[in-house]
Amino acid sequence: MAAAAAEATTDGGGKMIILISADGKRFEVTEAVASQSQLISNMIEDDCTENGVRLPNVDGDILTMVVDYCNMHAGDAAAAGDTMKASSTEEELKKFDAELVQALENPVLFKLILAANFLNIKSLLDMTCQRVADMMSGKTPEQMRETFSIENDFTPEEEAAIRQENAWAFDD
Amino acid sequence: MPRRAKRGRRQHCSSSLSLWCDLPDDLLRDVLQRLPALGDRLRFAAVCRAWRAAERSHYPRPAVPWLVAPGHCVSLHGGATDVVCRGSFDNWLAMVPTSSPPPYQPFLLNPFTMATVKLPMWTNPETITKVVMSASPPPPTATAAAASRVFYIQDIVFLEGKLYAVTEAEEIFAFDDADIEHYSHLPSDQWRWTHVDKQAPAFGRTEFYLVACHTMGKVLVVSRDFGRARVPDTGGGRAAARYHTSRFKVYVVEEHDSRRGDPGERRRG
Repeated sequence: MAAAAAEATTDGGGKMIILISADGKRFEVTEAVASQSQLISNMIEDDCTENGVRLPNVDGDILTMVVDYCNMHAGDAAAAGDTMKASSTEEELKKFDAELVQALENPVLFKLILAANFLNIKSLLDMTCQRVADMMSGKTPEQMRETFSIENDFTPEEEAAIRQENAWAFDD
Repeated sequence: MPRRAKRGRRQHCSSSLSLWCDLPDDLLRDVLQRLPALGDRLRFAAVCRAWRAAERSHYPRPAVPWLVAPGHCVSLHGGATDVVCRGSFDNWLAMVPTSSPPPYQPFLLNPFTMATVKLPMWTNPETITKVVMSASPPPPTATAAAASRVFYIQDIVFLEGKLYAVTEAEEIFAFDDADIEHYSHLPSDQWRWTHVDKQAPAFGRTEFYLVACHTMGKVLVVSRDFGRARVPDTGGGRAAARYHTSRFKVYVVEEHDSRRGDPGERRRG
């Protein structure tokens, strides 16, 4: 009885939710943290998180990053938690985000975008899409292919025609 | 609800290595929205077939291609989305910020050299509608003048060192270049001006434009009358009123060294 109660609530009274990754890793987070995902927030509203939330599209490694991000950004919503001694200051958050986003490389970035999209966490999606755009900006098509491991599937004639169409954009 | 990935008619890269070609369309759109520069968009579309299809079929391109001449186009990274061009002289464009209400900093941009010249801070509450220059920058040889709705000015133009302005009331003012800096403090009876018989249009409204005709050394006024056209009721219960051009007039400004009150002349062109 006591154990069950401890599992269901924190000292602050926030309910805990179990997230289960594709490879079976389990993450226990507060409702406030999990609610940053619109998907999970809807599930909480519909009262269907009792037995844990299975996320078959998200690997444990990626879910670890997502949970870290959400813990960091739960901010005022998680006023209850002892784990969040003081809510993170804006400066700390910026630093955290900047470090996270700088560290993102293929293919982790790709998986994180898909996870942010699937879980519908807008701020994380914005941040990761911006990172991809920044990685594209100012690059030639060749450099973009290299960055994103993409094979050039145009014929030489097609490619020449594409470049000819807007030659100014392809001056190196 | 999470957004669903639409993968319908997307082509897939032949490379098994690449995940990125298979990025769902709505996510590609999110990324493309963060690439405001047209050059980046065009290079994105030249990477592979899937990206080309995505770029071409789904998303409006940035509105402004940065001109200019054959074989030469200028693209400002990110900067193209929050300024508008409100005038030009020689190689210079007069750029006015749109991202914020005044006060703001207008500037001149030479798109060929990418040189910029800051204009004075604009502190009037009404936004700049037009910028004209007396000569090619930089100052002090060149004077820039800006118009806004504050003084009921509809158009301004420089001709041979003089600034001409036309108001909503079809009054035409001329300022010597040297006076322009102080024009807003100048008592109105010191303005040299040309009075035009005002004929109120029967209905609708009139707009005025000035054209500097360098070969004649004269300024032309174009007045454009708008009439109101009733558009038939399309079932919404209200007939919409639309303006259409009902008349153009063109005439030459004949300048007088007269003080306020002396009528000027008008000649129909």
